[in-house]
Amino acid sequence: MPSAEPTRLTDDLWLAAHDGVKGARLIGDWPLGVGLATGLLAELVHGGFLELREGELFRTQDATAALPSDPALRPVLVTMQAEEQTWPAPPVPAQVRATAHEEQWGPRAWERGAWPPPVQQETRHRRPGHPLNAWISYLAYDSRAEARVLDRLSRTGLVQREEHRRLFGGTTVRYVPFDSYASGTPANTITHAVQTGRTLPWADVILAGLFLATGLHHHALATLSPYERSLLTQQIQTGLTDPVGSGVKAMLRELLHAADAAIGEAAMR
Amino acid sequence: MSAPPSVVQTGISYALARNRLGPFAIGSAIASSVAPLTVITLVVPLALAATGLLGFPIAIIAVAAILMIYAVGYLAMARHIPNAGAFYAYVAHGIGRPFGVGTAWFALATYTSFQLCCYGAFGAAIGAPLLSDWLGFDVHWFIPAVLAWALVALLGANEVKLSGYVLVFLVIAETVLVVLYSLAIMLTSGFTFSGAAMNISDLSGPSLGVLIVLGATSFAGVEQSVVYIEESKDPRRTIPTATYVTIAVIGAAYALASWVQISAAGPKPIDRATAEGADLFFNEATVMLGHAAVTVGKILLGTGLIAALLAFHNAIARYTFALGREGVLPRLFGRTTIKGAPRNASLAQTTLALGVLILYAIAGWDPLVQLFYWGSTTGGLGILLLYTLTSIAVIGFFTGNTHGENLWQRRIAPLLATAILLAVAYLAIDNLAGLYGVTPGTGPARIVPIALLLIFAAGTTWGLILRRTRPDVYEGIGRGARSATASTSGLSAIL
Repeated sequence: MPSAEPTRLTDDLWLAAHDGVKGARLIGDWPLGVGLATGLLAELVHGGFLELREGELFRTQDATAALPSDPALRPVLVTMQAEEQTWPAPPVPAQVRATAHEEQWGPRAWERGAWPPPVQQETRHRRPGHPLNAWISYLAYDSRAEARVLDRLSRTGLVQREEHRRLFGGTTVRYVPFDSYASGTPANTITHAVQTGRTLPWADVILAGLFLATGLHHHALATLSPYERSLLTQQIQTGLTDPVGSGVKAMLRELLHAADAAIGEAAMR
Repeated sequence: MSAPPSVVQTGISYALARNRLGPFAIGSAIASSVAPLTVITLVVPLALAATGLLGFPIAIIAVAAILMIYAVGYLAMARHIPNAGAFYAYVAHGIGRPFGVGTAWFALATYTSFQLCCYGAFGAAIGAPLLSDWLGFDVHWFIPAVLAWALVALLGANEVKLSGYVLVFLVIAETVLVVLYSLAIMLTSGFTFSGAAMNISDLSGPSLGVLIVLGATSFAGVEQSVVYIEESKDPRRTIPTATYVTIAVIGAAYALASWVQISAAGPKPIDRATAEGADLFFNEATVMLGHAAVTVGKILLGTGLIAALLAFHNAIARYTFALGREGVLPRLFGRTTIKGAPRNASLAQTTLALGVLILYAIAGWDPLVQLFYWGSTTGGLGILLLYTLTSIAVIGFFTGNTHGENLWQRRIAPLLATAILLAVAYLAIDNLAGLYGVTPGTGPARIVPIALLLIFAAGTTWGLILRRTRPDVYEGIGRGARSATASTSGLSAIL
C-alpha cells in the first residue's frame, strides 16, 4: 500500500465507488457527487469547522481562527469565507450589543435603554447561514467535490491517473484506484467490523450511511446476511445518536437526510 | 419568505446557476414530448376525419389560453410541494391523499395510452410505408412498431435519455419543418385561407368539448416542466418562462400549420382527410416542394415519434417508480439499478406495450385510427380531466395558507381555470361519440369513460385501504423522496 496516512471518510467513499473491474465507476455521477459533497461537509462538521442548524451551515470560531491544512477541506471553507464577504453586513445587532455592554444594569435599566440585555449565545442562530441544499448541489455539480477528493487522494498514492489517446486527437484523463485492494478496503472494513461485532468508528458509520444513500450498498454491502444488515442498521442508529441533547451526531444525521433526499429527488428527473 | 435569490449574485449562486438548466433547455425538453410534427401531420387529419369538425386551429388558440391561466396556479403550487413533477402529488396535497392515489392511477393510464398510441403511429404512418418503399414489398405495420418497441425497451431499461442537444435539434428541426411546409403550402397557387377553420362559433355547444380535448391532446406534455424545478436556475422565473413561452410558440405553430393544412385541402377538407389520412399535410406540401419533401418529413416524423415514445416511456417509468417507492404500488417498482435507472417499472411498461401491440396485430385493428387516434384522444381526455383535478387541488392547497403567493396566483387564476375546465370537461364527456367518431354508446365512447372512472375509483379505494392498514405509507403519499418510507435504501427509515 502506498498510503502513508489513514484515508479519510470521503476518500473511502470515492474508492468504494470505483471498486468495479479496472476501477470502473459503480454509481451514477449525481449520486457520487452528492455522496462526496456530503462526505466533505461531514468531515468539516465532525472536525468542528462547521455547524449545521435547520438546513443552514455556519462556520465556527475554530474555522475563523485557523483553517485546516487538509487539501480537500480548506478550499471549501475558503469559498465559504469568500461567499460571506459578499453578504450585506447586518447593521443593527452590532449597534445594540455595543450600547448594551456599556450600560449598567439596574432596577430601572429599561428606562435607560439597556434592555434587552445582550444575548450572544442565542443571537448566534440568527446569523445568515449557507443553505445546505445549495452547497450539496454546488459541490456535486461539475465534479467539484470529486476534484477536491482526487487532489487529496493523489497525495496518498491510492489513485493513479490514466491517460487514453483518442482516435482523433486529444486525450481523456481518468483516475482509477491504485489497485483493487485500495478500492475494496473501505467496504471490507465495515463488513468485517459488523461480522466480528466491533463498534464502527464515526467515519465508517457515515460511510455506511452514504453507501445506503447512494445505492452503493448493493455492491459494497452485498455480502452481509440479513441479520448482519440489521446489526449494521443498529450501529448506524446508535452511531448517529448523541448521548445527551443534540450535538455533532444530530448534525451528521441531518446531513445524511439531506443527501438521501437530494439523490432520491434526482431519480424523478 | 426568503429574499429572492436573484438580488445578490454571489459566487455560489452564480456558479450553481451556470450548472443548472435555463428556460431554453427546459422548454425543449418539454417540447420533445409534445412532438409538434406528430400533432400536425397525424392528429389534425385524423381528427378531421373522425369528428368532421373544421375548428382545430381555433381550438388550439382556446386551449393555449386555458393552459396559460391554468399554469398560473399550477406553477405557484409547484414551488411549495415536494415531488412536483407528478399530478398526484398536487391532488394529495390539495384535496386529500386517497384522491391522490386515484389520480396517480388515472395519470398512469393516461400517459400509457399516449405512449401506446405512438407505436401505432410509428408503425403505420412512417415505418411501414417507408420500409415498403425501400424494400419493394409490403411490410406489415407490426414489424416497424416492434422494432421501435425494442429500441425503447432497451433505452428505457437503462434510462438512456436523449441528450439535451439531440432534443433541441429534433424539436427545432420539427418546428422549422412545420413552419416551412406551411409557408410552402401557402405559396402554392390558388391558396386562400379558409374562414370556416377560424369560425369562432365552433367554440359553442357540443363541438366545443370535442375540440378542447383535441387541443389538450396536442399540448400534452407541457405540464412536465415542473419536473425540472429543482434543476432550474431560478424556480420563480425559469420554469414559468419556459412553460409560457413553450405554450405560446407551440400554440402559434400549431394554429398556423393546422389552419394552412385545412385551408389547402380544398372545398371538402373532411373528405380529403378521410381519404389521405396521415399523408394529407405532406401531400399538400409536395405540390410546391416535390416528392423529397415527403421523405424528409417522414424521417423527421419518425425520429420525433421515437423521441416522444422515449419521453413518455421514461415519464411512465418514473411515475411507476415514484409510486413504488412511496409504497402505493408494489415496492418492486420502486427499485433502481445501481446506476439509478428504474428498471422494474420500465420493464413492466415494456411488457404492457408488447401485449397491446400483439393484441392489435392479431385482432387486425386499424393502427392509425383505433390505436393512434383513439389512444391519443383518450390521453387527451385524461389530461383534460387531470388538469381539472389539479386545478381544484390548487384552490384547496392555498385555502387557509397563502404560502406567500399573491391573490391572482392562488385564488383568482385557479378559480377561473377550474370553472372553465369543469365546463369543457363536462361537454367533452357528454360528446364522446363525436370525439371518437363512432355511434353514441358504442365502442370507446362507452368503454373509455367507464374504464377511466373505474381506475380512479379503484385508486381512491386503495388509498382509503392504505389509511386503515398502512398508516406510515399513507402519511408519505405525494411526499416523494421525503416520505419516511420512500427510500428503497432504507436509509430514511434508519434515520
